[in-house]
Amino acid sequence: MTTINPLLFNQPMSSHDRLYENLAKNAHTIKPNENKAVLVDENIFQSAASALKDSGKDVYNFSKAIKTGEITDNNLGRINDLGMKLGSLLIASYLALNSKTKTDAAMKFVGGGAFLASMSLWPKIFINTPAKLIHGVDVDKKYISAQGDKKDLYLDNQYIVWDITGIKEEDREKHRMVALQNRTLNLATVAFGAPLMTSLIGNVAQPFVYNKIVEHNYKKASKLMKNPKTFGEYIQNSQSLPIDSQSLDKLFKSYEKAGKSPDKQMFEQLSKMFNFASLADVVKDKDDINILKEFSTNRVVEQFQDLYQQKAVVRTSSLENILQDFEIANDITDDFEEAAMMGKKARKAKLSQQSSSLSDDKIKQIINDLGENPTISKTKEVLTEHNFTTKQIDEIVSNKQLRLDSNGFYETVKKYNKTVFSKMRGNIKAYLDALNPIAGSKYESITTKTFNDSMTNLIKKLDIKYSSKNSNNTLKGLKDSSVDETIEILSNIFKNAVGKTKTKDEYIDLLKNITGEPISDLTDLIDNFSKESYLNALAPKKGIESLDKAIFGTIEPSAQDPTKKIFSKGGVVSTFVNYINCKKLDLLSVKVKPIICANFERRLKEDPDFKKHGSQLIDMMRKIAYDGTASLRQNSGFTKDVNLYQKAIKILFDKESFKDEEKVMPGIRTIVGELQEFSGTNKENFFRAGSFATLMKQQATKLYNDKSWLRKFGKMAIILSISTLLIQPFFGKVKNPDNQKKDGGAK
Amino acid sequence: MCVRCFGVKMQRITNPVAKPVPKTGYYIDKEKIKEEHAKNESHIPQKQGFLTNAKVYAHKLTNDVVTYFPKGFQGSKNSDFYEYLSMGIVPNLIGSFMLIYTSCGANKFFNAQDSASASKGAKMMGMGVVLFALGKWLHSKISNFGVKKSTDINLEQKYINKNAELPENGEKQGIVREQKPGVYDSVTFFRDDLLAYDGELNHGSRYYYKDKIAKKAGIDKPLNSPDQEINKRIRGVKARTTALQNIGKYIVAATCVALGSQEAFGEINFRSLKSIKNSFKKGFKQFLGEGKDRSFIHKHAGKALLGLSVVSTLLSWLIPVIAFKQKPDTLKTQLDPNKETEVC
Repeated sequence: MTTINPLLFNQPMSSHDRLYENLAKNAHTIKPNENKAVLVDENIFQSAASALKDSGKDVYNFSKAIKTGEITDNNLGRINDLGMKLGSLLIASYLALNSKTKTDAAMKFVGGGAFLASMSLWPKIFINTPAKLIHGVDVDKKYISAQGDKKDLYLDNQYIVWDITGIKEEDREKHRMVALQNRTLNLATVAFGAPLMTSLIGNVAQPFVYNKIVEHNYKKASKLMKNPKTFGEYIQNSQSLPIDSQSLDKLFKSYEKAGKSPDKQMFEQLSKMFNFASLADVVKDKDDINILKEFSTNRVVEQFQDLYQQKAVVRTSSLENILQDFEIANDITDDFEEAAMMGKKARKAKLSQQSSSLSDDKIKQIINDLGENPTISKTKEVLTEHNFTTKQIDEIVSNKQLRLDSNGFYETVKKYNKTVFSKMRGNIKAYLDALNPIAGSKYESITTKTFNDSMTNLIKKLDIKYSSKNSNNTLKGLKDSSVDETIEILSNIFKNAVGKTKTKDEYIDLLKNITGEPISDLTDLIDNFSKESYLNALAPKKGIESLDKAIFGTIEPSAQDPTKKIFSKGGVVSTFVNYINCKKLDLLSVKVKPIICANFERRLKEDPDFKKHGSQLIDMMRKIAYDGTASLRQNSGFTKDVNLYQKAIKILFDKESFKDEEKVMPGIRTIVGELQEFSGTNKENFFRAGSFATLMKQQATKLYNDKSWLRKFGKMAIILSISTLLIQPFFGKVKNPDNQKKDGGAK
Repeated sequence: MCVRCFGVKMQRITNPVAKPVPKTGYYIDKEKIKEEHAKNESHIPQKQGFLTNAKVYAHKLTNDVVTYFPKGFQGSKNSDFYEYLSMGIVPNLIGSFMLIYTSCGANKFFNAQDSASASKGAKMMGMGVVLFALGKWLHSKISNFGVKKSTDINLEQKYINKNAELPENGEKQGIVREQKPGVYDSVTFFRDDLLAYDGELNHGSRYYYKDKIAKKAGIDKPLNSPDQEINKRIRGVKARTTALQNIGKYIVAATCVALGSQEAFGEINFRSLKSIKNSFKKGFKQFLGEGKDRSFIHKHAGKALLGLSVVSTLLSWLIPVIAFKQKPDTLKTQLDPNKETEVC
């Protein structure tokens, strides 16, 4: 304000005073500059897209900060989030690298992503949405500041850019309070909520990921096994796996250094090396190693011997020497002392005097017939032609003075390793790689999944509860039971289930429920692996036929029944066919066993003759039905009373009693009939998959553990969510709401 | 009086020289000023050492539970950004605990074998969480130490902020609370003024700190107005160091989590020192590739991570220092009145 000196009233105003007066008069029309900040208004999809864009901007800001050293505080803080994402990615990648199954590896990334997402999902769902609904306050509102940074509107409680929001002055205090209280609530609860949410998301996602991986394996195998041609191509294109040539070199060099020629010991060592069991070092997979252990190539020793005979070259000069001394040694045995004093020529002269032995001409003829570089087998042939007896030939060939060049043999063996044998090894590995994701006991094979799913289905359809105070027939009871208790519990459960069915139709419905999905597609797929047309792809194409046959094994038509094939034991084909049959039987037994148990309980309930068998017999039948492991044979029950055991088998697996079950599983009467002839050889395979009781107990334990975890942490999550939601109405109570200023003016 | 000093007879001066008279017209009691200043104004405390950061963390944590969270829940208008950032410590701690708890909290339901394997997983996860925090801390510590040695800027320097609050709930006067932020918390608004005042009060010149920094930057002649030149460099160092640390600390943390996930830590017994030592030794060997034969990447992933962490720690030391020591062609010693400044 200008000071007005009353003595100067009529003085003219200076330009300075005039300007000042003008300013004072117009002060109420002067406004501050427009705020360059802008609210951000996006829907879900746009915000997802702009989140990506912002991450890109973060990288740009990071590089700008390094180059020029200029950055705003907000962007510097956002680089922290970028680092956290990078760190999570590194952790997930490293842990996935070290995990043993593909599901585990995939879940690491799912878990990492779920954690990062739930840190923003938890407030979005449980804090921001209720605040919006109850108080009408958008706690998460964002704006772009005048410097171009995207910030939360309510980030700093004492600096809120109200101008751009359009919120009326009387509401501002309430909005500020609600926002502050909710952000504090978020800080208090997100530490509990985000890990719980992550675990629950992981829990839900894991079966999904597992199923996808198993399905993928199944589809891959189905495509491969569509016809023998595709399978053959797959095997052809597989990589060769030669055994370490250094070990062969070492073996051969040791013999050369010692001046020895190959003997039986070396052939035995070679046969061990050329055994497919050596693949166990390459595969490292338990299923594959179990199969490879069944290979044996003891019969190969002879083949190597034959090969040696064919490839080792006889030094004809040394043979000549031997032949020259040959017959004389026989005659001289009478007059040993005299012979010892004789020289070579004298001996020869005596020989030519005494016997119709080899003349020089004959020897020359033999040497001529042999030709250059004769092999041992050729030598034997030629000697046979010249009327030497087998005994004489063996004596000549095993003479220590016979110099042999074994290089030919060594080279052949090494070449065989590089070409035929390495290809055979590669083929077998490729076969195992295709087979075991389907039929192996791996966690992610469809066979394992079928076992687990069948047991889970059974548990569900038999209505086995989590736990109960009154009875032990629950998951908890199964988890805590010993073997005998498991049998008792299962028997009670089946008895209850069968007891509930009043009519035959209900019983058949129950059976249909508990057997679940048919597995014929799966068993057919597995069956293909053992068909001759597919196994032919594994056979070696070109090589040393006898050695190949010996190593690979042979498939011969049976002398008694030409339609049947005989496989050489320990060979490739017989090992695989055996394995496949066992696997098929395992899968089938999982479906068959519940039917046998239900049938047993039903007969016990309805058939009056059945109950007349003594309690001892019934107990034994119960054990066989529910446990039925091959170890039951070594069980004292069997050894004590073999007759009782046989009787139990005969009654339990009585074909005629399974007429109704035929409607559910056609062919079960055949299976049951075969089991009735249980004598212990291949029927034992029916019990190989592990006892039914043990499988049920394992699956029940797993389900019980999962449910327990879910109960505890699901409860925690629910309590947390509900308490977070219940606090919401208590927010936003403004003190002295009438004091909020209604008109504008500088504050 | 005679005194013996190295065998030579010395005579003590008994008449002391008179104290010099101050040049100003009134008496200044500097100690009293310092005392009052320390009590009422924001200032940089003299004693800052190794434990300062730990003490500040404890101070924040206690105040979180006692003051900041209640203020936040009441919607108080005195809850400011410092308190919001301090409250952020709590979810960090609780979240780490929860990650371990969800792995082993349901153990009492499991039977012995399942419980043991769940405990094993929980132990490895626990080691991972602990080592995660350790890794972040270690990286920041090393980087700040290096920067301090080379540029004389202590990026972790804390000050005491006297925050005078508005009166609440009908009270007449607001409480004055103590906060402990860092001097260099903000890049654009670092507490230049506190450094100057501290320099003037305790070291004789307002430019005490800036002159030390200038010397490290290789500027030989004394600058008339160091602010212009040195502020730019301080901001550069802070921006670069923090940006690199914000990425690097997570790389080091990832390496530590990877170390904690080794099988050897599944068997650690926290009560026996020997078991801890053994587990660490075995775990480290496994981390560097022992027993991992699945593939090349599988064997050497640990070494790669370790190398990456070392490189990132070194870079977060070297890059800011190199940029700090770069000399422009002309050194401005006077204030430039024509330089444009941005008004936010």
